[in-house]
Amino acid sequence: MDLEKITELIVELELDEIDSAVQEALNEGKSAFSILDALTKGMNKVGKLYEEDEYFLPELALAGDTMNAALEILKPILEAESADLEQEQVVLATVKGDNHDIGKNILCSLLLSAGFKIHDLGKDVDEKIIVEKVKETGAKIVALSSLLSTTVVHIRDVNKALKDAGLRDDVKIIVGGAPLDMDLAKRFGADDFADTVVEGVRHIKELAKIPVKVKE
Amino acid sequence: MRILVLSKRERVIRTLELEEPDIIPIFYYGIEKTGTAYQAFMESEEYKKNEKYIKNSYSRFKNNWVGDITVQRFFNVDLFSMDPFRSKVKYSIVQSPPGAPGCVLETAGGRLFKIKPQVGTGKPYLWYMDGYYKTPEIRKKYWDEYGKPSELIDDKINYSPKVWNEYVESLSPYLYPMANLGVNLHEALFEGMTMSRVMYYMRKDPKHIHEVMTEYTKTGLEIIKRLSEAGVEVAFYGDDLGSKGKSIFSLKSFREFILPYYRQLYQACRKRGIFIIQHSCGYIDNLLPDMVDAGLQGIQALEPAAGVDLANLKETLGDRLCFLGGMDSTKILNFGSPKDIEEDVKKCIKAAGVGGGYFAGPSHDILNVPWENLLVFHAALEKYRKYPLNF
Repeated sequence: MDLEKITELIVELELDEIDSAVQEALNEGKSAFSILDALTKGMNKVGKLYEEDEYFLPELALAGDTMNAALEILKPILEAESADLEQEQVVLATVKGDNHDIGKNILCSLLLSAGFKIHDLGKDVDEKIIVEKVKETGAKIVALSSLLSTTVVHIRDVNKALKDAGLRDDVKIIVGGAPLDMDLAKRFGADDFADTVVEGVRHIKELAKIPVKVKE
Repeated sequence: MRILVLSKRERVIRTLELEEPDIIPIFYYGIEKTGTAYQAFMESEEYKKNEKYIKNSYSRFKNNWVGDITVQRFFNVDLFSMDPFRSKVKYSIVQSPPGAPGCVLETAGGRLFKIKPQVGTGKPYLWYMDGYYKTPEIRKKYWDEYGKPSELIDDKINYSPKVWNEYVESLSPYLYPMANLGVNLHEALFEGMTMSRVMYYMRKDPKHIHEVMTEYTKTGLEIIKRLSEAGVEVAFYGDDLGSKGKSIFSLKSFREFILPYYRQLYQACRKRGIFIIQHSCGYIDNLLPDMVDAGLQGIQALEPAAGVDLANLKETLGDRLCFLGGMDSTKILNFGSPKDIEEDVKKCIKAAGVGGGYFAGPSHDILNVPWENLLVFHAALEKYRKYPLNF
């Protein structure tokens, strides 16, 4: 199985064919990391097509499902082989009271393909659970989604809970969702805002490079 | 000197005919009763001043109330989506279907819902959770067992002109009602099936998508026929097409899978002399020219936070399309200052109100907007809605 073919299957959203293609590549002795790299190239191309208005949200969602089908097979191998590798960790959640998760799920797929280790807490997540996960994992990035004008205010609660737990200086918060812009994001205490999931991946990559404040 | 004062109905019809009425009419999508804004309203002096229930002797409901118009009186609306026919389709509900514990499945569309606390008030609210009809086989099983949407139309509802005329008459001092179609096509499709699966079948089995859309459209066409027999003049159709900065589907997918069915609904309304107004959240500027060509006459929501450009839409489509809403209920009404709110009202009226064809109002229903901001908004609407627009 040509790895370029695996990239193409992601770009062409071929959900039915991806798992057999990944399995075939593994059987031929290709490494899980080389296959992941091919998948990532595909997701990057999907992101580009989204930005060029060739693809829209449903295409992103289907690409995410196709990527996840491939990762189902690769995950155990990748975990075993990457035990000694340092992966940047991201805690991901839709804020309390908000039951929308399409954007968050797509971001999750894109971040996985970009090599991040994701702790996806789901939707309608209380700030206490987010704080606990940051404590447990030592993640330096918290990515929050909020689709409703009624729930964006809960970004402030996450910010406060991280502060109260003494973790805020060690963590960057990035937010996204329909009612938000950079001004509102900053007002609620976030460090960054992204308008689309594709932009979100780019910003999170940048945030991962920025050293967090060192406590005195 | 303008001395003409129109009735609410005359103002609504003239505006829908894209002519300039006496003053700009007001339309609110509504106020969410489980939200904090409504709780504040209930405790306010304004509630006491405006409290009003409308009766209708033909109502088949025990208590005969056909409308609580307290909110609409406060907002001084000219047009509102309410009718005496209520739920036109008898939706079947299945508790906790396999794989979805704690959810309820609405069998016509395949949407899963769950009762969860509303943000800010904790009041129970039925939230959409996921799509259940991920394959044609699942959909077929439930449609076979509980009925297709068109088979669920409630035949006990009396769509007589007598019922409708009495209803309109009883409301006439307060507002002009438009009837709700009670179905949606696009939303039911992607919420019932999930976006990912819709895209999958659009590519792999387009017939499956067309089969579902045909069935939803059949239901809508039958309801339009009944509304027409009752004498309804304006129909309202809610169907979200947009997301932030983009339509949900590409224009190409929209043209192939959605627009042909919209055209049937729009043309059925027009053939029967019914004005058709659609609500859609999100950015839809790229879809609107096709929708207008297909027969749409009014578009409501026009969310600036999603990137909708009201001024540009008015310039390009204003000779064929009426606009409703556009005032930012996402950021400005929730988090803006009184000055921000007043400036936004002026901006939208200037952009879309010139020459008529515009209903002033917020870009969404009111959720947890601070009460004091609503009062500022309300006052600004009344201040700037008068023709000629001299500000």
